[in-house]
Amino acid sequence: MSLTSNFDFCVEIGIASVKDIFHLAFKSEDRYPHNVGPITRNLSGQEVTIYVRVLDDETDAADLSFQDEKHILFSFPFELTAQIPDAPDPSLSQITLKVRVDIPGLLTSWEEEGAEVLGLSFFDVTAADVVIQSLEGLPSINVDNFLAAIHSRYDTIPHVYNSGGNKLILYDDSRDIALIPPNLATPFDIQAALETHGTEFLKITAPIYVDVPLPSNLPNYQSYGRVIFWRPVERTDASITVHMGSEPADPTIKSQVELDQAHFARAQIIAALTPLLVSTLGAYGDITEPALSDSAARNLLKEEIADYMKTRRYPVYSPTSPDPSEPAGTPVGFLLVSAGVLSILLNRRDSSVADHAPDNFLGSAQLALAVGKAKVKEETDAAIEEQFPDLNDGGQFIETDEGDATLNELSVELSDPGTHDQAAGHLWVTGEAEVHIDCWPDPDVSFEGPIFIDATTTDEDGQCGLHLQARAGDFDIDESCCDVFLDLIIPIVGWIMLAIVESLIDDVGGELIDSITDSQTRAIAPIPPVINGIAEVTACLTGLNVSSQGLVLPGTISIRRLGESFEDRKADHDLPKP
Amino acid sequence: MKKNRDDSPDKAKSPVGSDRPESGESAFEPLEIDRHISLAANQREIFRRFNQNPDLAKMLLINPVLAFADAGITLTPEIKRHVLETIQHSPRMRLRRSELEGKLREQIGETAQPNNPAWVSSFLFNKLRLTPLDTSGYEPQYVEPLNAEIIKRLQARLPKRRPRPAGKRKLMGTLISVAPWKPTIRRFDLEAALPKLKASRSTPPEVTLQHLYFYKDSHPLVRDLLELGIIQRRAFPIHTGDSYRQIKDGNKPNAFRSWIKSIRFSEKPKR
Repeated sequence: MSLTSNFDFCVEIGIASVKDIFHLAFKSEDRYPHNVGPITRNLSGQEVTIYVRVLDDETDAADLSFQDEKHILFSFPFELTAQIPDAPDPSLSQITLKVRVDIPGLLTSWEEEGAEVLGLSFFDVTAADVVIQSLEGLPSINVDNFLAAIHSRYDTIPHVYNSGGNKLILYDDSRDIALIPPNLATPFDIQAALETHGTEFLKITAPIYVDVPLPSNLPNYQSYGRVIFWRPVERTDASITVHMGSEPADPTIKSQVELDQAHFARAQIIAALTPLLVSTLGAYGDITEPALSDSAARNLLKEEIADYMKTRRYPVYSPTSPDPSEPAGTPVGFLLVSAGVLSILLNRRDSSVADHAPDNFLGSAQLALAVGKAKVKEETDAAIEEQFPDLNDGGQFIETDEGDATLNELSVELSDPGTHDQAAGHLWVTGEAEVHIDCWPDPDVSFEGPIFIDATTTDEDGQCGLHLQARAGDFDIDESCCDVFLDLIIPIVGWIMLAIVESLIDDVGGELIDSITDSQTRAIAPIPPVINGIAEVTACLTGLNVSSQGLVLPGTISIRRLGESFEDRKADHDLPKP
Repeated sequence: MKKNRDDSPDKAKSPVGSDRPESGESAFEPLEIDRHISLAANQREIFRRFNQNPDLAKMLLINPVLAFADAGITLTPEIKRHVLETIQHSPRMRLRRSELEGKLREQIGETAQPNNPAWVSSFLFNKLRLTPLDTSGYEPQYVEPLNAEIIKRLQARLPKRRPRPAGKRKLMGTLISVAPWKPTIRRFDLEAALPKLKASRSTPPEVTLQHLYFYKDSHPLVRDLLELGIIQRRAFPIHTGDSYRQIKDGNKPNAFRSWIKSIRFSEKPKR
């Protein structure tokens, strides 16, 4: 049970507020680039240009969760556009993937520009740490893609082949209108289907026309027809290839030519033309489509993302000390996963033990600031020592108009609600004094009782405030007779609180407000008021709870995008001059 | 036993009431104290009785005469007066109170009642014919409960205060103010300069010590009246018999009853 572990102070923020800050800060394009690329990669022999757009909007929101004590798991949706100018299938020359990726960021501290900062580092991210939650838009290569590639390739190869007086015309729809005779073949365009014959083959049916001279002054044999052939399909994790020049050995799927015009020599003509056709089809070469399998695509993304992120880290929390010569202590962060709380420990008190996570003291508040019991005890002991320096040296003689006494013992202890018959947390004061009475031997009086710290919120011109006042329990406010006793006890607690507030300025962040004439007023910023130069965070402390573990000041957070409003500049006397 | 109501130092409050044992029959052997010397002579027995009854000892702070009675100790009126006067004020304050009461009685021809707001109003505006002042929004000045040396030591422990840079936008944090002590009447700063106040349009029917403070420099008698009022308020409270019984039975809260754990007298002579 510890509010601040081995540190003096701790700020806790709920995950909802962390998310709010994240979304606002994430809008900073400078710090968090949303558009990455172009990135050039070679994929299956194809030059691929990649553009990445990270999203965070209503339909595709980025998110975060607390993964473990030291890692925040970020979930980023992004669009990845890959341009492949030389894709065999023109429809695959630009593909857009929608991806959601989880990336863990390490909550750690480092020094930046001479200041200790707490931030998120991705330095140790590896591909294994990256999780592809979803991957959409990965093209599934099917027969249509091959057909489109063949149509596309048709435009680049000759369509009329002459060999030994034989003429062969290869049609594909009306793609070549200069062909004579025009395409009247069946099918009218090249068709394809994927078939399995032990292994996968692409079956292609292409329309043709043949003009073959015949001997003996017979008229030329002229006929439309089609060539039917099967070509092996090779699939890898990265591509799918059809080897167009590879005639199968299986006789059942060897290339076949069909000619429409009946003729006694048709069989011989087909036999003679088939080698020419096989050779012609070889002109298509290998048709390779970059085609990442789902697992290959995920692995590739993981590697690319890890490679991109491993050089990045982002400072998040840098408490500012009012005195540059005394920088605020190194902030150390912990994540309380089940509670959904980010804890930031400040001012290490005991380096002999390993830093460890504090308790969840946030409760239902948006933010809470705790002062550890060791720090409170230190300030308590100091306040007692300064006010009663002779206490441990024979007793502190106290002289008042009401009477005199010698204070022999005094202690002030943090106490939980419910103890000492007090519903609220309190400081339990115990002491013993020898009271000096005229004409009467001095009795020894031992006393004990609760001191509460009343916290009252204030609001001046929109500036939230908190007023702290110690109050002795069980004392009627009208019992002015007891004021002499209260004047001994209350200032102890008052100065304890004053010292703690001053310490908060040094170690948590804050400053003396010079415009406030009341010298007891200080400003505390439990979290830095400006995060990453974009999010302005106003933290209002709204109460003070006492327990045996220390003091907790719960509060609220309001977050807005940093801007130079008219009111801001007016307050700074920095309005534009004519 | 005698009724001692009229012997009380503060007749208006009748703090003593009957000094018969409040618990009915006293569990103690009767012990009668009729002179100072017998009070001193019986100290050890008195101490023994209170030391053996811690709850009864704590009632000494509520009303010592009635606590004595509960311990079977009967005091003569003279001794009662002595006990009550001794415990109410330190010798210096007792003397000052007596001086002020006498002086004011002589000057104004009646007993001054500074803690009676209606009486104070009449005194200021009818008797002294002072102009009513508009004190709304003003608070008396107080001296700190800690002396300058202690404050200096405490201040030295605090981190150095640094004013914020000029022109810097207001800090988006929380302004925290700490009151190290509570203002109380006993620490009215009678030497502080008063603000210049406007005349009030109406005469207040009641004037408390907090308002009387702003008239302290208006007339010498007002200053004395204020000082007397403060001393009266600083007197150790002597509860009436009824109040004593309620506190003793736990039916009425009292700070001393709950804060004081024990009062013990040394039965051996102290060095």
